[in-house]
Amino acid sequence: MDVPFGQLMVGGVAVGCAYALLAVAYSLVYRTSRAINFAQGDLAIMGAYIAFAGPGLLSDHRVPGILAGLVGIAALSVAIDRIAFRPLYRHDTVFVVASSIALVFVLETFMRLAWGSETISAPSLVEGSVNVAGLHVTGQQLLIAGVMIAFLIVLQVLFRSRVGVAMRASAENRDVSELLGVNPQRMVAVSFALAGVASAAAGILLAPLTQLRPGAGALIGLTAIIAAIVGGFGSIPGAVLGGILVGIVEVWATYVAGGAYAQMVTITILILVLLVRPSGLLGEEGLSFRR
Amino acid sequence: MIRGRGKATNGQTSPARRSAAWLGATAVAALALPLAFPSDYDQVVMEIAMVYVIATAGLNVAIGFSGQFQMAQAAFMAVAAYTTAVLTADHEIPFFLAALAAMGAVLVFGLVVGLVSLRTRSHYLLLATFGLQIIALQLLTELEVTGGVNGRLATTGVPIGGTSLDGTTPEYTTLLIVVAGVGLWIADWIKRSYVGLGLSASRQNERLVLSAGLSPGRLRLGAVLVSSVYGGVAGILFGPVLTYLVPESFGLNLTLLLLLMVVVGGMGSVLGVATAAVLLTIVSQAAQDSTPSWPLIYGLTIMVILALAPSGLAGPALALRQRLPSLRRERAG
Repeated sequence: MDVPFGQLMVGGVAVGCAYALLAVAYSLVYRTSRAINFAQGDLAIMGAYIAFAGPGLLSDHRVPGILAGLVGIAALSVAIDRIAFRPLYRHDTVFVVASSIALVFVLETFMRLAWGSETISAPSLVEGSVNVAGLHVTGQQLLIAGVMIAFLIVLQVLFRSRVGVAMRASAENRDVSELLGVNPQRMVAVSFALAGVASAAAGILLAPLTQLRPGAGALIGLTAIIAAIVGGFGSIPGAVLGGILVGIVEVWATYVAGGAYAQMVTITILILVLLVRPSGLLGEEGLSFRR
Repeated sequence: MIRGRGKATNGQTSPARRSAAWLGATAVAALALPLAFPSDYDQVVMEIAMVYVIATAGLNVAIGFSGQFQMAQAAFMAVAAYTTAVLTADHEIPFFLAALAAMGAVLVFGLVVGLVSLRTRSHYLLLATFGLQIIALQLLTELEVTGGVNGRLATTGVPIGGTSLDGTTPEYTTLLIVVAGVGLWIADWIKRSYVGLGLSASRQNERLVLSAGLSPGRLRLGAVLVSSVYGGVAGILFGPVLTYLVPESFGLNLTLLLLLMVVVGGMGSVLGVATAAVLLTIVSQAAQDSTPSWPLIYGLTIMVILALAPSGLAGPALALRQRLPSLRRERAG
């Protein structure tokens, strides 16, 4: 084997951390609204487009571009919740799913119109690399892991604040928390904003590794959904675990079978996990998903 | 539950009269529609609409009747269409034998989806079957026998009475309308049968169904298999309409469209879903022909429709029906 085991693991964990960020975005949205937004991957890619190919001023300077990507996607995410999804929460989940698949078409075509169909390569955000125990780790890979850990810490701190407690209460029992004065719609909006930031961050971090093209969002989004399910939908630690696992599987499958079959392998593993543990690895067994 | 046979009981239309209405309407539509819309474009749209009516009638059995969000209907269609094409064109197997083999392949795939549905519930089932759909699509793009991204020739037609009915002939449109009508009639019959009641009951309360001595698992599996059979029939008949098969025809686009037809038509309503299938086919075909960026307009329209009328077309229709006293007796019981 010409590529050492450890090196593939490093690559897998790094990509996995980015998937984990996106999977956390799915889980955040799911916890408060019971919605699954299939367009999360496209939001991620769009964040990267704004950061790396945004209007002149932004793309010349790295930091404002990235900030614009994060804030822009958070705002867009909240707007989508408010305008398109909110009327649908009363009904079956399948309505939000249908609306969000329609959103995939809208965002993909918008990106095609705004930035063209050709792939755009994004530069690494951090140059250079380090050697850890004989393994080659690039700066970009370290950055991905760092951002994911930082986001998790911010999330933990936030969950302990007043808004965070209200958010968790609303996710736990919407009706009782509403009686106690928590506005559930505001909590959903907060979770959509957080999910927007997480997905834009995931897109910006992944772009230098995968190149940008309008159709890439669906692929990244699906991989992250798989990660979220494997870990147990709605569970934050589950999303992180699932993301890293799926990242490792994807890198290995690409190495062994080639890129075209990598996703098939990941999906097959997903289905096998679901057959053995229907609520994911860290999913709450008692949590019934029947309405 | 035992239903009155022949004679109407407590104000309900008798099964015989319902069947007569369905089949009569089918016969009238099959004779009149190809004459009323003779242009080539209208005919293609009608044929596509009928294929989707068949596919969504089956999807409605899984989603509407039994509440299982099965997202692999487009994949069932693809398996059937490609299997028939490969067997008839490459191996010169007679059409009906090839169609039978295609149905066999679809049933095996349906069994896989069904087994997943036995283990998982709503959200997880939705995502797992969506995953199966993606796998099927990627196989179509990667395999050699399917022609990859470039696609391959489809079956040219259906041989009936010594001649081959080509997809381009008005007779093929008639055939599709007849098959769609019979499919809807069977779906309506399933809905009103003992099985349909069991499905609807297990959607609402699985424990109660268990305590009544029925097996919800068997009902769920049955519903998925029935929906896969509809998908298979739709796929086999889709071939001659498309004349050329590409993976894109069975992609995310079709998955969304079929799901939308069921949702907009009102989950569980046979006639509502069929109406939505016809209307949305016309809209989506018109959109595709208008501008290269049609997905943008198309997606936005769908989002607006969903946000404004989440209960689907059947919602307002049912409300109207309840207000009309003359029709109320149909709903009673």
